[in-house]
Amino acid sequence: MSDELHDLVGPYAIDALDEIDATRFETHLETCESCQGELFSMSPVVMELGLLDSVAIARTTEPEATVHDIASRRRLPWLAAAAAAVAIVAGLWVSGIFETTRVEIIASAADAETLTLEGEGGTVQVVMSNTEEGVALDSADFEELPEPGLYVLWVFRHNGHAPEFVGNITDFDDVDQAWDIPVNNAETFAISIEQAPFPAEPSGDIAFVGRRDLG
Amino acid sequence: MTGQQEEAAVNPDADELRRLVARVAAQDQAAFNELVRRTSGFVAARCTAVIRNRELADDATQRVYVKVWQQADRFDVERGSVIAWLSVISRNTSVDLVRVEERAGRKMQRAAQHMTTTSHVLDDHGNALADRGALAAALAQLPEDQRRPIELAYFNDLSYQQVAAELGQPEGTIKSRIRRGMLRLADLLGEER
Repeated sequence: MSDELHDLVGPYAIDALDEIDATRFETHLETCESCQGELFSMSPVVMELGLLDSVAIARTTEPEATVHDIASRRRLPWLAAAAAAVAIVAGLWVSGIFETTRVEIIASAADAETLTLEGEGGTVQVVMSNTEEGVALDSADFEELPEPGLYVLWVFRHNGHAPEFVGNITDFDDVDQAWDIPVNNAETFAISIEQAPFPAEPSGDIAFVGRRDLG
Repeated sequence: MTGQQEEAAVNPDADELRRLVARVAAQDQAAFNELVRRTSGFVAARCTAVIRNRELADDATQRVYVKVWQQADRFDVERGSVIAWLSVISRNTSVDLVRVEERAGRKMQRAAQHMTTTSHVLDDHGNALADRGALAAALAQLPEDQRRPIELAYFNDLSYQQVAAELGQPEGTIKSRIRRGMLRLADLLGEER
């Protein structure tokens, strides 16, 4: 038993760990019933802190305004978990709303554009929209990667200086994943193979890459 | 840990949660309802911790349960931990929702704000704390050496390592104090209810 790992539960509960420590703790959490219980018991505290934080955060403008923009653009009626369950029970179409709608919205936008990323093992197609400010996976020849490998999507912008992280592709079978990013100057998309989520830069092999003609 | 903390830390019926997920994997809607009932508070807290925006955290919570419904058949019902599984899905979903760079930008902005302010963090939140009696009372009962690291980490978006540097304390001491403080707050809030 490692006190060093157990003690991470507090900082993890309030998101005070960097990505490496958070991932390390989640690996520990998988087998530590004590930490599972402690984390669960801290939930009401986190919710109360969240209420306070909503008040405090309103005093700052720019960064939170961005988050609110996303919220207003993407917000779907959350009826509380129980009500969502009822909705699923009623029709089971809720899964279609959340996971596919964003993909479908991007794919069906008037300016939707498909880009094929080429790789040795096949291709990945992404679809993007300037007006919807999003990119989504359309189809992919992903191979199951040995643990803890994962695919990570990156964008290289025209005149950009460094690749930007877009998202972790955590589900190799279900490619219905979409991310909200401006794509008007997105020139190249690449998918790398990483050993931990949220890398600061592509550190693994580039598995797929595709360049877009920006005219 | 105190006896109360031991009690608060009891894992919420891990075997029963595993059985529920196994039934959800078989598309059992009643089991899904029950799983949501038992864990939605936890999932909402995990999303709130990352997103710090209640509306967006609600959306994230919703998305987490859609993933749970869709991916339950991949959960290892023999050995897996439902709580750990939900926690990972919650964090990944939340981070993807607000995007890493926005989150990093917000942390930097808050850190800068913290570095330029001369007032104590509690002063900055005095009004808010007054509005939240239960948590304010609970925080007030924490020893200073536990309360301050939690406030700095949460309200100023500092990592525990940054808190340690700020307070001039060893990192191990700070993360331990955050853990003990959070457990104590959980106890105190539990007593209020």
